Amino acid sequence: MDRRCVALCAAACAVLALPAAAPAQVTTDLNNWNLTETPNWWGGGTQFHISSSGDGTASYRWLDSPNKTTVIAAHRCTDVSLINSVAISVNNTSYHHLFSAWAGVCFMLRGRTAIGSGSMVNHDGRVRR
Amino acid sequence: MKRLLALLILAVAVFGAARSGSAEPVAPTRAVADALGRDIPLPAGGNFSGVRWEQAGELSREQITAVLHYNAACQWLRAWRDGRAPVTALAGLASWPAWRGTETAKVLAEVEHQARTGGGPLLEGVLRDCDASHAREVEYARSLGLKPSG
Repeated sequence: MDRRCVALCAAACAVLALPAAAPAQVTTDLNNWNLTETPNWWGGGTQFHISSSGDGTASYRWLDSPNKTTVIAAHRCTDVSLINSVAISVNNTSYHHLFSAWAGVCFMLRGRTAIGSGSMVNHDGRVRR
Repeated sequence: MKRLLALLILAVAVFGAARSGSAEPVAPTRAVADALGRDIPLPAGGNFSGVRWEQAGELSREQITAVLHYNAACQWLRAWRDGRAPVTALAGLASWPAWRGTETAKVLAEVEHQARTGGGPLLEGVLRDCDASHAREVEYARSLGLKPSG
């Protein structure tokens, strides 16, 4: 086997060994979201869409460690119906799966604090889709 | 007398919404939405009766308008797909003022492009969402005793 063949084989092996490209999720930061025990809409009802480049899921996380249990819900832009909601515990900054769909699906986010826990002010979050 | 009272309540709600500015929530939402939706063009047989305003809590006037417009865009897309409207009916959807400079404007511009050029995954996805929404809307409108959209 000549050197050129070895080099070609090595290059081919290197390409095959590369992991498949991960889907490129789109993220948007939600800065200073003030939550109370009454649900309120992020941005007065900002519309988000499941991206074409992602994996077809929508997730939410707090960037600032939350000092209250919060409930974040995704609602459809078409008829305001609820898609799903997740409860996020105190100090939890992991992503929480909201729903799975397909590219283009439009949704809005609504949040509140746990009943009896009072308000949570100026916390930043991130939606990934 | 009852009709006069209802009209008065509606007028106060709409007037209040107009005065309250963009971020202020308004109620009762269905009455306000009915008033705001009157000028939004829809395909034949279209209406907004299936939107779940009663489950939405407080909404800003701008949000109500954005929901109405998105719902209308869905109705136009379904009408085009079903042969009830020409593709030219989709031409202005992305530039409606309700979502100027937003993600929705970009998505609808691409959807319109795909509709004109033989289809695509985004068009397919949005239409699928619109179809699912329409099925829910029909059910909800009927549960309220209202005429569902076509």
